[in-house]
Amino acid sequence: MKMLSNKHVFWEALIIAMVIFWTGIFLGVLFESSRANKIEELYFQAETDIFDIQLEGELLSMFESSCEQALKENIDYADRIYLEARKLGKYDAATRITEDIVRLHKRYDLLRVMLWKNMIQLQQKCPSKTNVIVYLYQYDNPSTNKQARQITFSKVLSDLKEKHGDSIVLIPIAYDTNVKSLNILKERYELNTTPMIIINQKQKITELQSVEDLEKIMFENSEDNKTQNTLFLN
Amino acid sequence: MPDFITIVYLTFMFVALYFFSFFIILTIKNNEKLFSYPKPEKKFSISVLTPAHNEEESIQDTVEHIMALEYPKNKMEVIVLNDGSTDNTSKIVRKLMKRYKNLKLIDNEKNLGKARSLNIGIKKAKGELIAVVDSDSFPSKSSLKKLSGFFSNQNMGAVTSFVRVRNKEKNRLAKIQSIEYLIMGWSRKLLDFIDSVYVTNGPLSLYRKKYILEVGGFDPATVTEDIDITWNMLYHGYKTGMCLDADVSTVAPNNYKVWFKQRMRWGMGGLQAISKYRKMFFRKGMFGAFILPFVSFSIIMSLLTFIFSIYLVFKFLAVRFLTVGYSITTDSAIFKLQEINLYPSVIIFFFVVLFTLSTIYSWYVLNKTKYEQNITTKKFFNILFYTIVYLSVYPIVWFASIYKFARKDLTW
Repeated sequence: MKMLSNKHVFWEALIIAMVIFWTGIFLGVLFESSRANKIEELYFQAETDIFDIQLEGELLSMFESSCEQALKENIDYADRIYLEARKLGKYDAATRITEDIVRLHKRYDLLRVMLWKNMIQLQQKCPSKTNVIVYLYQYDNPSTNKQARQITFSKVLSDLKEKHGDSIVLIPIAYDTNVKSLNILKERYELNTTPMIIINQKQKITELQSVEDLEKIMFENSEDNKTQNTLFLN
Repeated sequence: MPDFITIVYLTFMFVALYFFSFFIILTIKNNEKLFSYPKPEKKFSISVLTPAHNEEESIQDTVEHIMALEYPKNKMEVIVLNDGSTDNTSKIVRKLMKRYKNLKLIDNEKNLGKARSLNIGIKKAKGELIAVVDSDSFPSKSSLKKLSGFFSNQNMGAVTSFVRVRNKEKNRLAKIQSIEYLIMGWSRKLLDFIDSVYVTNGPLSLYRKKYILEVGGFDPATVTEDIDITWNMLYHGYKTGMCLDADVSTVAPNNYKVWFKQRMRWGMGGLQAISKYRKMFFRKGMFGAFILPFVSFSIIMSLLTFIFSIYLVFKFLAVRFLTVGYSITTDSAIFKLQEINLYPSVIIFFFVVLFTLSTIYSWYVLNKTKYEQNITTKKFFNILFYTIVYLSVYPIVWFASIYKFARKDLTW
């Protein structure tokens, strides 16, 4: 009798473990989906805004209106999706089961590429002191060394942005999420390594730099920005 | 699809959940029977064998504890097996023999090892049952009586006792081992309910002499004769049992070097047993279907968890170390608050739930086994230390044991 009732423990434990495990997974999926939904709401707003800004840019160029307004809209937009990117990054680090955040990441990268294109066009049309800094990084499984370099790059760029505020548009884009439009830019302009900083479509920086060094690079070239078209995106 | 690391984590979590549920169910189902034991139908004659090698410090105390056992003296003989001691062990026992008429001494001129000594003792023993008591262990008065009741079952080959650490107040290591012994004893009792007691410990175990002789006695080629004899009994289809109410106290190592050597010996013994009975995997009832896979799987899981944890810790430290270097180079802050991620993942939730449940369960076990009258904060810290630190570093012992076993170096 003793063994008969106790031997059931093998499958009883299996059932209980499976129930707890799958409940955990189910709650995890719900939890991750709810996080993704929060980001998705922001994303939809960001998506609407980018179309609005694009259209606004086109209209402004049609009516030869002020560049200032368009530039301001783009900078504000860039700042907002930069902050959203940070939040997305933190959710991303805590996401284990679903692919929702990964998909959102890709969609955000798409928006950032559109923003970059907008900024290029705007810089051509409206010379200004605004610096466009694109930061390309490896999203999927970077090596230990690359991960450390990317963390440092992020910190330096964050410091730079804090210091210079609106005079910098910071656009971080994942290099390896297979966004086709980015792939075209990568091929065409030989953006073939990460992490990489691209300043005003002129300078490609792959070595770690201090905030001061980046400032020097940016401001030495800022005069050229007003007069020249971009170096490698022409 | 989750990445590889997540799949590994989730697998560990599932296995941990399974075994946690397994032990909880056994506890709930058998809660009333945990401390019970069968009443002996007859008074068996028992020979108590105490192998001793240079045990002058403890042998008198051990013999006195054996002599104080609540068991009819005319049904009990005590044989000290002096295994080539170079100290005063033999002299002390001879002196005690004047006090106790049923005390005998077998002197081996040379040190033959515990298994050979026991085999010599078994041949000379007159009892139907053989009790083995280590010479640094001290059985409680009623322990032998309680163990003997199990042998009313004709198929019972060996029954083991509940070991407590005698020197638990000595230092942190002894305190932690005290917790470990209680949890080990408890889980051994739970395994008894599914006929899967796989070690009959050295401090106090009782065997049926007829079956010991039938299985060929203690194997001198093994480093842990207690594991081997148990597996041998199971292999031959005999039952093994455990009595949670039969206490014995023993002296646990109180320095890390001795502890490590002892555990390495246990580890090598386990590996030897797995290797010796490997053909029995998934055969021969509970022995092949559960004990062999369970012991092997526990070792593998413990090693994999350790390797995986070390990999993750080193990776994290390497990233932090490199980041500090790069931060200095770029003159940026070494650490920024924005790096802190307060969004927990599902894995962390699982881990927290499992850790909390197992700590509560350990606390419950320690209360039930009367670890202390009151579990204070300091003692609770010891439980946490056991769960977090002790169990985490234990796989190092397994690595050392595997290394020595692979090199066929069976010294310790």
